[in-house]
Amino acid sequence: MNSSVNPRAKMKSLFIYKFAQAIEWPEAYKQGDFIIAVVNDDDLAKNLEIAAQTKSLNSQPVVVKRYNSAADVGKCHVMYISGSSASEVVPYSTKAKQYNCLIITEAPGMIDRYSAINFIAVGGMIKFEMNRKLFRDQDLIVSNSLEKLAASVVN
Amino acid sequence: MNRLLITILVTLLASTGLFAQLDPASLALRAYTNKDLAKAQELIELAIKEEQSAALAKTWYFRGYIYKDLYKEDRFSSAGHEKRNVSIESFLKTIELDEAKEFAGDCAQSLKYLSSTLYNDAAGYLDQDRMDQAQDFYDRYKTLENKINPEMDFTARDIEFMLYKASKLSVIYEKASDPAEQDRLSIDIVNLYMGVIKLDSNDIGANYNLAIHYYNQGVNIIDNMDYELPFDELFKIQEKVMELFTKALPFMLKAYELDPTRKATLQGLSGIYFGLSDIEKSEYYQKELEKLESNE
Repeated sequence: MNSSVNPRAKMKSLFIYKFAQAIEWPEAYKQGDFIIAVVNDDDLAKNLEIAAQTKSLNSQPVVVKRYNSAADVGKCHVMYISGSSASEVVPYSTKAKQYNCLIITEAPGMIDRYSAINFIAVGGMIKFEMNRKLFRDQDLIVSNSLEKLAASVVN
Repeated sequence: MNRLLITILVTLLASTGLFAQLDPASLALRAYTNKDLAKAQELIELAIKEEQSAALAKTWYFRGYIYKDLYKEDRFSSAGHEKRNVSIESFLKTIELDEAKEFAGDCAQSLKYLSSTLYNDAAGYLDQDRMDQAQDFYDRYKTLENKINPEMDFTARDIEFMLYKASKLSVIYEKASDPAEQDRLSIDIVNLYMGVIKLDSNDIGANYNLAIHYYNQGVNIIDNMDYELPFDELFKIQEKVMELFTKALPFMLKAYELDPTRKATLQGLSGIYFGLSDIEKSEYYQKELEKLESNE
């Protein structure tokens, strides 16, 4: 059995790259490193780190940062928070909202308040839902094509 | 050369007076007993060309032995294999002509031995990843066994051969970099495991390995996905992968039903359910695995 690959982590890392390519950040975020913060998912972080060695995002070098404490969170373009409960997610999302950060989660109910994009499982497949308000709040411009690919969009 | 066999043959010839007549068959046997196999071969070929000799079971019987020993001297070359074929053909001809059943037991024993060498060669070719030759020799083994014993049940042997062949192909598959080659190998692997399951649906190895093959296929597809793929491709490829994970599941569940305490199966089920985004079931089997390990 090929246990060296976590298929869900790789798939989600691909999605995160695609999300980043479909979003426009404010001018101040278009220079320097493109920072992706990962909370509580080492396999996903590892996939992103491998990709970062050869791929850039929006012509910016990609830097992956792993966080175990919300207090340590700094400026980032994307934050992926693994966790199924609000108590796991909220401290990080609250901190990330201080920046123009795309917050991504993977638990039911998170899309309503805490994240702009939330991974969901539909028929075994990884899909995603979007929250337009959180994009607006974070001053992020999202392409129409991304919205069309979403399983659902809330305002 | 078998001392007992020589005694039997010399006694046989003395009793039939063949030595005295100095016909090619008796001369061939004399050369054989003198360990001059090349001469024995030459003479026995003359013998089978003579109508009278060729009609005698014993001529073919001698030929079978001479060629069997020639094969034993050269068992790994195609020339050696051809000598084995001649030996087989000669022993079969002996049985056909031997109405008195004088040589039947001895021929059956020799043919059994030769058939075992065909099976061993098939396995040897599998070891060398020479799949076509392996299949060819396995088919020859079965053809011969069918002639010796038409009632023979090949189920166990077929399963053994198919499982081994599938396992060897799986190793080649994992190393292959050409997708077309992988697809071709995958079809063969699936057909072999399905072949085993058709013969014995409770074969745990076939069920488990088939599930693993489907699962690994899916994982490999994801592992090779590039970050530059168009977004909609992610969904298309994911669908294909889900299809493979879904195919894997019933076979892994069957393996679990056959042995719920097999750690590899529990790991497999946890992995498949995880891939299918059924985290609850994935965690259930992961916990079962941890329970097993903590009891060790």
